[in-house]
Amino acid sequence: MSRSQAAFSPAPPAAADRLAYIVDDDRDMRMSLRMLLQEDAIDARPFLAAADFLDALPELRPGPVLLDVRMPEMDGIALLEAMIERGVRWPVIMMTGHAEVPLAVRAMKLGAIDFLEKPFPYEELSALMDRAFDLIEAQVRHGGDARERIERLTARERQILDAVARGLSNKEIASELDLSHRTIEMHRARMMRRLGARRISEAIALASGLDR
Amino acid sequence: MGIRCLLYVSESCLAWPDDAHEVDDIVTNARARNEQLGVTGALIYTRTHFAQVLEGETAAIDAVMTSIRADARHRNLCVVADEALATRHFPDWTMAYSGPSFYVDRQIRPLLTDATDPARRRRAGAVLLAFIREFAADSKRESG
Repeated sequence: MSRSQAAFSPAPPAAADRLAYIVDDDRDMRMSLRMLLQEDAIDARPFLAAADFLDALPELRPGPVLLDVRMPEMDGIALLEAMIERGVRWPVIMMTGHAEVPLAVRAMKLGAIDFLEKPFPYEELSALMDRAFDLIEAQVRHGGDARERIERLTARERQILDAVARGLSNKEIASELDLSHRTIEMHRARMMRRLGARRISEAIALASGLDR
Repeated sequence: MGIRCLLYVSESCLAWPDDAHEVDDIVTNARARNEQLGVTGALIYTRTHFAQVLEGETAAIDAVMTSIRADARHRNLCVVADEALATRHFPDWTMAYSGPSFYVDRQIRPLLTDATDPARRRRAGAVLLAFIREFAADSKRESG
């Protein structure tokens, strides 16, 4: 194909349409994942440290994040927590050398969609990425402003939302936060209004990135 | 009276995104009913499947299971384990996980078919039970 033809033909489904992120301190892992994902027309941006990814985060488009659990300084779980604090609920796939149940459970509770034990078969990753992109698309369709709405909450309301998402009752939240039951009810009602949620499940969904 | 522990898995008939409301109702009703009947345990929902552990006296478990089996919000209910229990593993009844995790779903999926050989099935059941317990314990740790 000549150069001019290329310029005038409709843009091919650009690799950049499917953007993903890799955060792993292991250079070989970053390189091989990047190459593997390229096969599926996914452009994966590599980051060698959690802090680098967090710095770049405000500028990034939503995309699945492949996140190594064990990293020096800030580890994968801490990065996942930092993303939640910033209201970023993109599909996160944790990767680890050895999967331990408590670690996997922690990651799932923080909203990670999967937990892969290295080395994993490429087919598994490929199928998983397709589903991750489906989730992003659904998030965008169903109120992509979740982040904005969550950000409107006060620190206290965020605390209560987190507790509610963990399945705690008002009574349990009251004792956990050392506040009266009535105060919790008041904060909870205000949190619902701010989120524009009619039911508590909608609030929880917003918080967990399900965006209903 | 002896205590029993029952673990089942089932397929969800709920459709995203309205499933959130339904799951809300399930949790509200289950919490009240289980507290009244002295049933402890935990429920897990992965958007495609449910898994639940129930602990309590035989009559209470039977009553809860009758109502659960009749619930049209799920189908293909498979009892994975049903055995006598010396002491309870769960202090109360909680919604231990609700989300889109494929990882959690993978722990449930193989138990939905009876085709798997009994030894593997038992092992997968034990793994799922350990998972649900860990999910419930993690919630307690966070709030503790």
